[in-house]
Amino acid sequence: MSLEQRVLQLFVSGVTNGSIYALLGLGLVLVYSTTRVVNVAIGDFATLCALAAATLVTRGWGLLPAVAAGALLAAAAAALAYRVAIHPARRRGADPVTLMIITIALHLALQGTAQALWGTQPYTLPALSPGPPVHVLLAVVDRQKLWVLAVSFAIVTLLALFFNRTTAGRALRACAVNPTAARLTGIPVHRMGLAAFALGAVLAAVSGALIAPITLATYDMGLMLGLKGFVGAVIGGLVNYPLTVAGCILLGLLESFAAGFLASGYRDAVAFVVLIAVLMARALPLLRHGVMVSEEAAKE
Amino acid sequence: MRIRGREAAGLAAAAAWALLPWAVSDRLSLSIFVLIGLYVPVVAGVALLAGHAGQVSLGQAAFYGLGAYGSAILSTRLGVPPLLSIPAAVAVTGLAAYAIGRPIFLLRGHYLVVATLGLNVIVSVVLRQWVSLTGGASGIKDVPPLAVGPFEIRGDLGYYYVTGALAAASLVLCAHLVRSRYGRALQLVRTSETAAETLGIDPSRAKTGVFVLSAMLAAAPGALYAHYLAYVNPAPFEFTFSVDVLMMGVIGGLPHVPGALVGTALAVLLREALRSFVPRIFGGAATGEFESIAFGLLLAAVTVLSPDGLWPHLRDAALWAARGGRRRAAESRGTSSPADAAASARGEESVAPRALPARGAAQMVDADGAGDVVHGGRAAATAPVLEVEGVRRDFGGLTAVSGVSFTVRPGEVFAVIGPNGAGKTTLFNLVSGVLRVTAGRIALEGRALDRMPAHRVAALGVARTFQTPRLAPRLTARENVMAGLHMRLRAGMLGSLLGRARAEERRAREEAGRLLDTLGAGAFCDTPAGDLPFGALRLVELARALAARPKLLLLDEPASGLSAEERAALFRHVRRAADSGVAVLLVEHDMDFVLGLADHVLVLHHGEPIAWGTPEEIRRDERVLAAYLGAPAAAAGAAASPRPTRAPSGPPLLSVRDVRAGYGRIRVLHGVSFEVHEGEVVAILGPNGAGKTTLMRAVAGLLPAEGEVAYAGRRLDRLPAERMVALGVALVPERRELLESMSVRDHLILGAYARRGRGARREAAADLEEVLALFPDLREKAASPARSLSGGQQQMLAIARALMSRPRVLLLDEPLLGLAPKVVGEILETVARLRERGLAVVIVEQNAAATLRACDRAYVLRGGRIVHEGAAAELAREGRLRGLFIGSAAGGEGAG
Repeated sequence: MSLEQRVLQLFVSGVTNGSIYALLGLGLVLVYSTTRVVNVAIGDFATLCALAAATLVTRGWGLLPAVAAGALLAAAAAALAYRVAIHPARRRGADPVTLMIITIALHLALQGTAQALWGTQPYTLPALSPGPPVHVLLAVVDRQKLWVLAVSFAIVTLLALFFNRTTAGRALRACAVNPTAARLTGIPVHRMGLAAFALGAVLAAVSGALIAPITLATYDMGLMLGLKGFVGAVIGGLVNYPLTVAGCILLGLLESFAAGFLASGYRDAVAFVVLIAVLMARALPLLRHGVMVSEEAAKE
Repeated sequence: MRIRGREAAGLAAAAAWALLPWAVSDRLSLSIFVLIGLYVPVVAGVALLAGHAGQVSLGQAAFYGLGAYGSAILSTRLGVPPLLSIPAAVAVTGLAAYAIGRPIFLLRGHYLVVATLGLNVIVSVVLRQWVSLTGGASGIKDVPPLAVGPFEIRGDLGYYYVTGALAAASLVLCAHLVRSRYGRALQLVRTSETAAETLGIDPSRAKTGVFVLSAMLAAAPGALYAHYLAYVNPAPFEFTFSVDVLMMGVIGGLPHVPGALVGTALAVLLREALRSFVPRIFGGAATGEFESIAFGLLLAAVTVLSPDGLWPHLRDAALWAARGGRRRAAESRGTSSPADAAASARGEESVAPRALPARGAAQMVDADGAGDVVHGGRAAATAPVLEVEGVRRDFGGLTAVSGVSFTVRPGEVFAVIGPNGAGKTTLFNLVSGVLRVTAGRIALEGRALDRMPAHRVAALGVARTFQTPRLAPRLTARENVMAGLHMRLRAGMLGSLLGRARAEERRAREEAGRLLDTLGAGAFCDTPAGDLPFGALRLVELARALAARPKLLLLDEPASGLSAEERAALFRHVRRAADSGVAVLLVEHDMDFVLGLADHVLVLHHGEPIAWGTPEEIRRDERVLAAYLGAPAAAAGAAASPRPTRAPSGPPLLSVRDVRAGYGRIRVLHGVSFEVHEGEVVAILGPNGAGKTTLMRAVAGLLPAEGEVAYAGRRLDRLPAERMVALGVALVPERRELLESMSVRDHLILGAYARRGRGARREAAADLEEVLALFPDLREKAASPARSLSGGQQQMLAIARALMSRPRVLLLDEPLLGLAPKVVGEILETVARLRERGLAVVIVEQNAAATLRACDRAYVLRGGRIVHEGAAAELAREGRLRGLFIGSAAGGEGAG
C-alpha cells in the first residue's frame, strides 16, 4: 500500500470514528447545556440500542424497525432515569458534581443490566447495505463507513434545523442560555430537561446502531464511546454544537493517525493525551501570569 | 465525660480489630479485611477531596497503580528494599499529582474530573503497552515482600495488621486535617472561592495540596498491595476502580471522615455477599452484572435520598443506642437524664449574658493584646490607607465605573452610595482585587494593588464582607471566625495533618470566641453557620473580617436584611472598629444608616462620581436627589403633568394580599398588598433594597412566597412562573433577562410559547406583526442576536417578548434603569398605548419622577412594606418622596 493510500485510508476511518463520537458529543452537549448534567452514562444508551436491535433482528425484525425500537427503548430509559433520580436531585438544588455521580450510578446500573440480559459475548447488526467495499479515490472503504458519514451528516443537519427553525428547538436553546428567561416565557424548564435527556439518548442510540456492524457490540462498549464523545465536546468547550462536531472529528483523526503511524496499542490513550493537553493549554497562561482574574466571581 | 467515652470506644475498636482474625478465622477469608484496609486510605483521600474541597477525581485508580508499579519496579528492577521503594513510589505519585493539579486548579469549574479520568485511561494504556518496563498485560512477578530488618511480612495475617494500621493512620490524619487551619480553608474554598481569597487563602493552592494528598493516600496502599500479592498486573488499576472508590466514598458520606471506613467496608462486604449468594439463587458463576446493578442502584439511592451518605445515620443510631444505655444506667443510679439536660440548658443560658457586647473601643480588635491599635481614629492628619485615583472599569463596550478618585484615612468611615446600576459593587470588587481596573490606580498605604489577585490584596490588610454573607455552612460560627485568622496562623499542611499546632489552635479558638463575644454573638459560638439566624450571620461575617486585623474594612450592604435593633448594634460595632483605627469603606442602601455612620460620602451615578462630601452636604445636594428620583424631581408636578386619574372601577384584575417572601433566612417582604385594574397603570416606587424586585419575582411565581395572589377572581399563588405566563400574567424582569445569543425573532417566537391550541400559530404570526409595528426598531434587527442591541432596544425586546404571550397583566421591573431620557420617554409612551388597549400594567421603579408622569396610581414600598399609596398626581406634588430616598433629616436610626 502506498503512503498516499495509507494516509487516505486512515483519514476515512478517522472521520468515520469522529462522526460516531460527534453524535455522542452532541448528545452530551445537549444534555449539559440544558441541565448542567455531565451524563457519564450516555454511551450506555448506545449499547442498549445496539444490543436490543441485534436481538430483534435475530427474531426476524427488519433492521430499521429494530433500530427504531432500540432507540425508543434508550429514550424511555433515559427519561425514566431523569424523572426518578436527576429531577428530584435538581429540585433540591444538587451541585453539578452530585448530578454527575448520579449518572455514574446510572452507568453502573445500565451496564449491569446489559450484561445480565446479553452476557459478555459480542453481537453484530447487519450493515445498512451489504456488499463489498467501494473504492473512493485511492482508498478502499467499507460501505457501512460511508453510511456512518451520511447518517451522521444528516443528523447534524437535522439537529441544526431543529434548533434554529422549530419552536421546540428554540425552547431547548432558551433553557440552556437563560433558564429564568425561559420560565418567564412559559417554557417548563424541568420538562425540557427530560426532553434533552431523551433526545441525547436517541443520538447515542443512533451512534450505537451505526458502529455495531463495524466493531461489534458488547455490553461494555458504551463507556469508552461516551468518554471519547466527552473529550470531543470538551475540546469544543462543552456548550457549542459546531465546535463539538469539529472537536470529535479532530479526535477521530488524531486517533486514527496515531494508531496507524505510531503504536496501535496506544490508540485509546490518544484522546486523553489530547484532552489533558487542551486543559493545560488553557491553564498554563494563567500560571505564567500568576493572576487569575475571576470575572465569574464578580457575578457569583 | 464525652472524651472518655470516645477514648473507650477507640480502645474497644482497636481491641476488636486486633482480635478479629481469630474471630472470623473459619468463616471469612482475612484477605477481605486486607482489601478493606487497602481501600480505606484511597477512599479517605477521595472523600477529603470531594467532601471538603468540592473537587471530584475519577483517577484515583491511576495513583493506586502508580504506587503499586512504582514500588514493584523499584524493588524488582533496581533491588531497592520495599521499606524505601514504597515511600519513593508515594513521593513520585505525589509529584505527578502536583504536575496535573497545579495548572488544572487555575481553571475554575470541574475540570479535575475530566483531567483525572483522562489520566486514568492513559496510565492503564501505558501499563499494558510499555512491556519492557511494566511487563505488559502479564505484569511483574516476584515482587519481594515488605521486610523490616530481618522480619518479612507475608500472608494475610501480616498484611491485615499492616494495612489496618495504614487505614487507621490515614483516617486520623484526615480527621486532623479537617479540623485544622487547612481544613477550614478548604471549607471556605468550597463555599465561595471569592470569600476564601478575601481571607488570604489561595484557592488553587489549597485545592492542589489536598489533591496531592489524596494521590499519596492512594499510592501508599497501592504500593503495599504489590508487596502483599508479590505480583502486579494492570487489571486492578482500570477506570472502573476509580468509579468504585468514589462510590464507596459517596455511600459512606463524603463530608465525614469515618464515612470512608463505613463506605469501604459496606461495599466490600456487600460485594462478597453478592458473590456468595447470587450463584446459589441464579446459578452460574458470573456475578459482575448483579454487582454492577446493585451498586448502581445503591449509589443512586444514597445520592438522591441521603446526599451526606450513610455515616450520619449510623452515628445517630449509635448515639441513640448509647444514650439509651446511659439512661438505663442513670435510672438504676436514681438520677434522671431530663434533669441533666435541664442543668446543661441552664448552663448555656448563664453563658449568654456574659456574651453581651463589651464596652470600650480597644477590645474590638485588640483581642489578644498584641495589636497595634490606634485610639481615637478620625485623625485627619494621618496618611490615607486607601487611595483610589481615576479608576475606570469597562465590561466589553460598557463602562461600569469611570473617573472615580477618593481616599480613606485610618479611623474614617467612607460610604459610596448611588442608585441601582451606579457601579458601587464594581468599585467594591475593584478595591478588593476581585476585578481588575481598566485604567487608574488603587493603592493601599502607597502600594499599588490593582494588579494583585484578591488573596494578596487580603494579605496586605484588606478584609471584606458580602451582600449575602458567605460563611462555610458546615463550620461553626467560631470556626468561621478562625478562618478569618488564616493569615495570622502558621500551621502548614504537614503540621495540620499531624495535629501539631495545638497551642496555636487553642489561641485561635479563644480569640475567635472573644471576638464573637464582643460583637454580642458569643451565644452562637458552637452553632454551625448553616443553622444561624440571618442577623447572626452578618455579625459572624463581620467578626471574621475583623479577625484578620485589617487596615481597610470593606462592608457590602451590611445592614440589609437586619432588624432595627440589629442595625443599631451593627452601627455601634462598625463605629467602634473605625474608632480603633480601621479605615472602613461602606456600600449601603439604607440612607439613614449611611448618613448617620459615614464621615464622608461619595455619590456615584451611571458609574461616575456626581457628589462628594459630608453626610449633611449630601443630604442637601439637589444633584443627588435628582439621581435618585429622576431628572427634575422638584419640578415634576409642573412640567409634564400626570394625566387626570381615572377612578378605578369594578373589581381589580390582579390583587395581591399580604405577600411575604425572602431568600433563605432573609425576609425581604413583610406583608405587601396592592392591586391593579384593567386599563390602569400602577407604579410601585421605592429606594434600592426596598424589596421591589423581590415583590415582582414573588408575584410572577419565580420565588416561593406566602400570601395571596388573585387574578381575574382566581387564586394564583404558588403557581410556577411558566403557568402564570400561560394564564396572562407576564413579567418583564429586572435586567431584562434576554437570551443573549438568540435572535430578536427567536425571542418573539418563544414569547408565544405559552399559547397553545388551534389557530395559535396564526395568531402568533399576527401578533408578531403587531408587536413589530409597536417597536419599529426591532423589525430592523429581527435577525440580530439580542446582545447586539442597545440598552433601549433590549428593554423594548423584553417588553415585546412579554406581549407575545398576550398578557392581561404586565409587570415591569425597573424598565427605565440605565436608559437615556429620550428612551425613557419612548418606553413610557409604549406603556400609555398598552393602557389604551386595556392592559393592566404594574411598573416597579426607582425613577419616581418619570414614572409618576405615566401612571394612574402609585404605591411607595420601603423596608418590605407599603408605606404610602395614592393618586400619582398627588404623590408627585407632595415633597414626601424626597425624605424617602435621601433619608430623614433627623440623622440615623442607628445613631443611638
